[in-house]
Amino acid sequence: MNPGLPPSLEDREILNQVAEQLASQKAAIASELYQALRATDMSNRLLISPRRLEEIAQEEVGTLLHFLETGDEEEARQRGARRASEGLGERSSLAMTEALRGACWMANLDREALRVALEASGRYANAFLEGYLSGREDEILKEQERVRHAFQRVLEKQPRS
Amino acid sequence: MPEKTIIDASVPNAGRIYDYMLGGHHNFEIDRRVGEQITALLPFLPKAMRLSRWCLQDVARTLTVERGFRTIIDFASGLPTMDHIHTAVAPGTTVIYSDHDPVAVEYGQEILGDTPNVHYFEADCRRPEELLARSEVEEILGDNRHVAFVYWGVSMYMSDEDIAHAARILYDWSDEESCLAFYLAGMADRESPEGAKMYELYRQMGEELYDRPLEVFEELVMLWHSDELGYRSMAEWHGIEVAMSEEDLKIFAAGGSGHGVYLVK
Repeated sequence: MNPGLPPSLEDREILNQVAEQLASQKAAIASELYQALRATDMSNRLLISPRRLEEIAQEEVGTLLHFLETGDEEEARQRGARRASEGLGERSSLAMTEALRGACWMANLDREALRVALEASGRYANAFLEGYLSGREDEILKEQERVRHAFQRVLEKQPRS
Repeated sequence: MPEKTIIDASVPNAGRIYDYMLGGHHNFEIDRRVGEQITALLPFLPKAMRLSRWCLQDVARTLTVERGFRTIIDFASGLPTMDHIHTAVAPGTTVIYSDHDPVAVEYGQEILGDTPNVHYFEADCRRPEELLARSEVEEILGDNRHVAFVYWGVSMYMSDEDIAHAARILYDWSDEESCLAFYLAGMADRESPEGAKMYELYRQMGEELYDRPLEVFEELVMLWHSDELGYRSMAEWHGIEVAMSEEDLKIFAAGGSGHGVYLVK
């Protein structure tokens, strides 16, 4: 497997078929993903509340299917960054990408299709997590800067002794 | 309520420990160390905090979209991050945040920037009359007394007298249809060794924690009564099963993960 390289033309055709096959099992995959998210729900914060997990599971399956068709890694990175800013926890991110990869095994693909699907889901997971990590870092740095400003302003307002 | 200002980064602070337990980054090494100590004693506590914090978006939507309030006054707001009230209210809603901590206020004002109809003032939730009497607040509200108040995640810092006082002031100040959304924290049993250590840790930080059973709370806010939804545990609120270990159940038996309620007149 080599998730680092873009798929060949031949593999692209296989991926379209894989995407169709996975789309027919979308509900089952979303259910697996939901279970994975529920098991790690306390790692989440901000907007990622338990009540939203079902909706997030549906959305993320749709995103993987879209990725299989387009191979757009930048979009996957942006998605990861967005989830980070919404408050998806590290454990949930890992559980989610693992569950999405697991979807390929659920799909009863033939050997060659499975190879191509696993490579593609690996690329998706890498891009998503790359975006996620970078999004987290951005958030932390922004917060640090805001805290510094806030402290500074409060200190400036305090009467000097 | 913590008496000390959050400005001193060399001593642990309850507000920053809370932020750490919620997975935020507005905290320092000293806060994280104490936060870890508390989590080691009471592993359920960070879960309880997250469960209560996740309600804020629901509270904002329910009060404004479903119940039609166009003014929300939130006490002890902390940091107005992207999950806070103003992000989930109906368009055109005025949100007034407040906190006793000047750093949270400065931070909040920076996050909010020029967000229309959202304001942030320094005020102590134990004396709501002070916020309501601020000239800026009087100017924003005018004669409007039809408001929804929010006290979410602060009950443990308020004594019984503080709660009774705040409930009475808000009741007298607001109109007949106003509402008070309140989260009564589920606290660890003081008699349990773990609970006793936690209370002591906070005491060492100079911060007294208060706990009370639901029946006592109802007495304190007796002018108000719960709406048809009643007092809901966090599990009920979120419609999920909240996994509590045997130890959690022993320590948190009295209040579980706490109760959220909409109080009406």
